[in-house]
Amino acid sequence: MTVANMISAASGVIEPPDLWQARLPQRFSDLCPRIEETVAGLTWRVGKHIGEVLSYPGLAGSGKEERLTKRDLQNYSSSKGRIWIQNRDSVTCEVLYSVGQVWDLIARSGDDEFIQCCYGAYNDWASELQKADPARFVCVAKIPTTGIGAATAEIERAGRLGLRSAVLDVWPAGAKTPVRAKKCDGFWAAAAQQKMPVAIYRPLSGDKDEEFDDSPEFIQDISAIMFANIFDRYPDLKIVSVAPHVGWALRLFEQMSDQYMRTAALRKSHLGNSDMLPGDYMRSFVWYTTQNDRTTILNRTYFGAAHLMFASFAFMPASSWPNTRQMFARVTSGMNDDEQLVLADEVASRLYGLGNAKPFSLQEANEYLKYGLL
Amino acid sequence: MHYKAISADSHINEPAGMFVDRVPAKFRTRAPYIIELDNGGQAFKVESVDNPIPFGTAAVYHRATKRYDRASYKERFGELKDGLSRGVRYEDILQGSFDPRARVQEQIEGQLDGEFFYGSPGLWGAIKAMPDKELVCACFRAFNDWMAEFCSYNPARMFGLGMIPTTGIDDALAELRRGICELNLHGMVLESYPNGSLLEPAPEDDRFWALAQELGKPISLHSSIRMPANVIAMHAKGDSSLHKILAAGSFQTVTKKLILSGIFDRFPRLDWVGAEVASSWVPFYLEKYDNDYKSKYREQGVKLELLPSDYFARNVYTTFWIDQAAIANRYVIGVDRMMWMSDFPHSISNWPIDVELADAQMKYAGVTEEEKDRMMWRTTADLYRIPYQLPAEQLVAA
Repeated sequence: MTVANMISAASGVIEPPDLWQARLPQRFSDLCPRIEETVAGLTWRVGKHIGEVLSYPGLAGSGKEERLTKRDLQNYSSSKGRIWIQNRDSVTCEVLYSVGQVWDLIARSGDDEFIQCCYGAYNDWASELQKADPARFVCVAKIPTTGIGAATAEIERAGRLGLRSAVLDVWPAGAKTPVRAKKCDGFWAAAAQQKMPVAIYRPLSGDKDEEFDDSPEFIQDISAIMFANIFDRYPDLKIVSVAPHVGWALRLFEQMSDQYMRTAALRKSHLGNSDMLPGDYMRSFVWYTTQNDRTTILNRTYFGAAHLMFASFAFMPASSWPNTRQMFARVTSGMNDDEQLVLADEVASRLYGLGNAKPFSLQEANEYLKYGLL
Repeated sequence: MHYKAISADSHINEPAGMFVDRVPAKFRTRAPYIIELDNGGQAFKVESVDNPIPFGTAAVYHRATKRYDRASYKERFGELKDGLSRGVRYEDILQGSFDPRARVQEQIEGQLDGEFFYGSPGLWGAIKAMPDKELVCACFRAFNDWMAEFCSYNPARMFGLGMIPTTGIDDALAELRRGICELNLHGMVLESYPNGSLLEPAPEDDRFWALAQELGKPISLHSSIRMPANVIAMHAKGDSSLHKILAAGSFQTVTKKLILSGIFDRFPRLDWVGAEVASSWVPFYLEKYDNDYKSKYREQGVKLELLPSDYFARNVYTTFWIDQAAIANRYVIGVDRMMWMSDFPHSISNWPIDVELADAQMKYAGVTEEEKDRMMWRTTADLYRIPYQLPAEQLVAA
């Protein structure tokens, strides 16, 4: 059987070229992000800063040279265009992230008010896209990088707009503000209260100086959240790891617990639930996307079936578009139909509250293969 | 009767006089030495390194009755006034950490037939940070001399591994040859790439790999070559950046660089060991290394004779302690690529019940007796070419 519904739990959105021009106040006209057509192709410009040429592998323009134009971007960014993209990949719904370089250009402006307006404008547009077809689009809100007040206000506003998740570009109070700072609690409280999973896609401290096969930055960030006792204070909080591979975590679940216990007499921070080790927190509170990673599929019981979501990463690095079904078939070979359905559809539906999907109970979230001998 | 358990990675704790008693006279006043701490404990003071290096987790003294024996663990640390922050002394720790006679008794109590010994990574992170390279090299040589002497007490049970200086390719070559040929050590441990860099391999490293292959002894990397000089203080602070720092020099990172630089094509008989790295990460890396090679590196001009996973199957070994995901994935990793370790007397160890716990995890996973033998001692014995049998009177299993 081929699964009927397939949700890509992480895809890259295509922003309309006039997203910000149409929405930012006039006073930001100099800085306002806009698309430029250069000899090499389309790029974003923010003030004097120009980004790299936009690349959407596999996506052709409508002109003779099949090179993308502004008009193509406008079409692909619309709900109609996006549904064409989904149909081309046989995907029935996508969780859409905006993680392109334009956000770095926006940050480089150094103008907090402008930055906040850009994030707000994006979220307005994202909510409109989602409303156009809520069964096919789960748009993820962007959280501004300008401080805890703006971050908390925007996640609350995003919830009111109907957005069902939020992605952090840096820590809620800023890249260099430790997560354990008490003033951050309002943000986590809002996310938990609104039942909005918080996604982590890039290092929250802003540092990405080396490429690793595993994700030490994610491990660093999730450890910081864990040991700041944020999960203990906000047990309804859910974190999403947005990456095409998570097989590295197989080692981490057990070894983080080991490390925690071996440094029992040294460490100053302790987890709030004495019945749970770090490897348990890494599973109970974290959901993982996966793609070209058969190791994870074969070892899914360690993650818990309720914690894994397949993703195409369309137009993000490692995109499988438009061959996501083939990728899925390859990595899930040997998996029974019911399990495939859970991976392709059910977990994302329940995590993001699609249709009438029932949210995960605490018991379900805690169903994973626990290591013995503990 | 064969062995029951050989630990492929155990530790010693460097005795107070290891450096001051053994480095050339001109360095004696500058070599790492033991200081008394205000909290009543002792620690190594290393030139130009701010924080003294206490024993901390490297020298826990406790007898576990179960895994994660929190009660006795905390109680014991309580007796020692919280270990690291309030002071541990040599007389507090297991004497087999530096006394070979005591070590054999500890082996017998822990049901171990033999151990391969590494130094204390935290201390070496500090030593290699010293600016005077000649002094650094002298410390490595002192360690190797001491290790050979320590193991000579009972060479059938105590297997010394030497350390390669981080001071350049010529020093690395000289100490590799001396360690194996003169000191009869069983293998050598890298604390940097052979050229001394903590960042990248270099073409000149080939001289080192060629000699290692010729000598037929394994080369190891213990955890990470980027162990910071203040690692214990970072642990104590719960500094979450430590993971990323270590990842940059981890066995996984270094192995990938070695594979992509063609080391295992040029030196196909080289044996490369990841000590205290666990094994359950291997399946993911095998898949990702191969995918990345086919989709990225080959297009970038990297030409290998085999797939990365093939080199793993031929040249690479990992050590594990309690690692249930690894045992479950043993056929992907290779039963003959996994070597059990106790880490004794470091705090991963649950001495004296490490072997019992190893048995339990293998039983839990349905491991056959043959597979268990292979992981518990036989691969280690094969790799380091030690005889399959101890004299009967020394064998724990007897």
